[in-house]
Amino acid sequence: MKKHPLLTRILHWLTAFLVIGLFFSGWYMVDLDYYSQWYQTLPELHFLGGSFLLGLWLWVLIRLFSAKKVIFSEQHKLIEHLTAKWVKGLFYILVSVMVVTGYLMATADGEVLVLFEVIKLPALSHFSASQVDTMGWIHESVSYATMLLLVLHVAGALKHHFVDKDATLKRMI
Amino acid sequence: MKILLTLLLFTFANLVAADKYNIDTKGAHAFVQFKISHLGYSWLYGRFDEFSGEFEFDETSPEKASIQMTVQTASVNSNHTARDKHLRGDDFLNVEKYPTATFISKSFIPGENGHGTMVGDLTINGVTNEETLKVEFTGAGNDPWGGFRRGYEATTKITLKDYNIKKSLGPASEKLLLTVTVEGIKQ
Repeated sequence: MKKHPLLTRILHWLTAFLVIGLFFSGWYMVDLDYYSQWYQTLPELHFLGGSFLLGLWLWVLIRLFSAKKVIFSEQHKLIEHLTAKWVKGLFYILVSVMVVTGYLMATADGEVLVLFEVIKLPALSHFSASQVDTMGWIHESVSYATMLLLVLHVAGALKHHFVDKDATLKRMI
Repeated sequence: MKILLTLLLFTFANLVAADKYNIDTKGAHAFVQFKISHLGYSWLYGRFDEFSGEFEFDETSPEKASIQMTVQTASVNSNHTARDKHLRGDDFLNVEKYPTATFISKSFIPGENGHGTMVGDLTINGVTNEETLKVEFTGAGNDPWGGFRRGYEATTKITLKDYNIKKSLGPASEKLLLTVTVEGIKQ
């Protein structure tokens, strides 16, 4: 069986776990009690994970245009092919919006963001209160949309593996 | 005779009418500030950058003094971008739903040397409570540019829960000290 290139697989699973981890950490951290042990650390970890994802995502996007497309022989139904294409395309857009709004919000005060006293992230710009609130709204809404998309994506992969019994999922492992 | 009487009455009415003062927000000679305890160890200060208001004051009947102010809640500024975002959110000021906070006075009890006590309705987060403010008269007189100014500083302590602000910051941080400093320009 012909698999996806190793780098594609590594990037796929790394970004997948980061996206999921970032969703749940973000979801959880905004409702943390002020006296929680995690009140300071979890947002910092979220920013760290987000920065890591931002770097990987740039790589993913570059490869999207530069890497050779691997064509597989199996024929999926047209509807499956189109759905997969749309879901993939939306992933590229939504995750890009997430990492960009996240970065801009984390550095919205116009100062260098220091994570765990080591990693320094430069601020691109200073943003006003309403701009920060708008970005926050986008970041939150898009995160839910991304999770919906993820459910579709996983459901598709499982359907191919268990119902159609084809190699779609195996190729990515 | 009738005209004369009307004129006289009109003049009299003008004489007893209280002077109107616009709060000098243009020149930023007014401040809406607060301080709240952080963990019980230190004071955190913040302010609202945008607000407006006016007050009326009559030297001959100071008990008639009144004031109304409107604060743009989204202008909360505690010198920390992430904290300000949190303060604007529905854990605290809920600015999307309640973009303004207001104070409308109901009565004034004059004390010594122009000081006094002001009672009025304070509305924050859509909730109105009657609050009593300690008012200090800070000064009044002609300004160097042809106007007349009058200044006060009012303080009060409010309980966040009374305004449906449920987010707990700990037992030492349930109350907030509000200080409003105004300089009014006589109209």
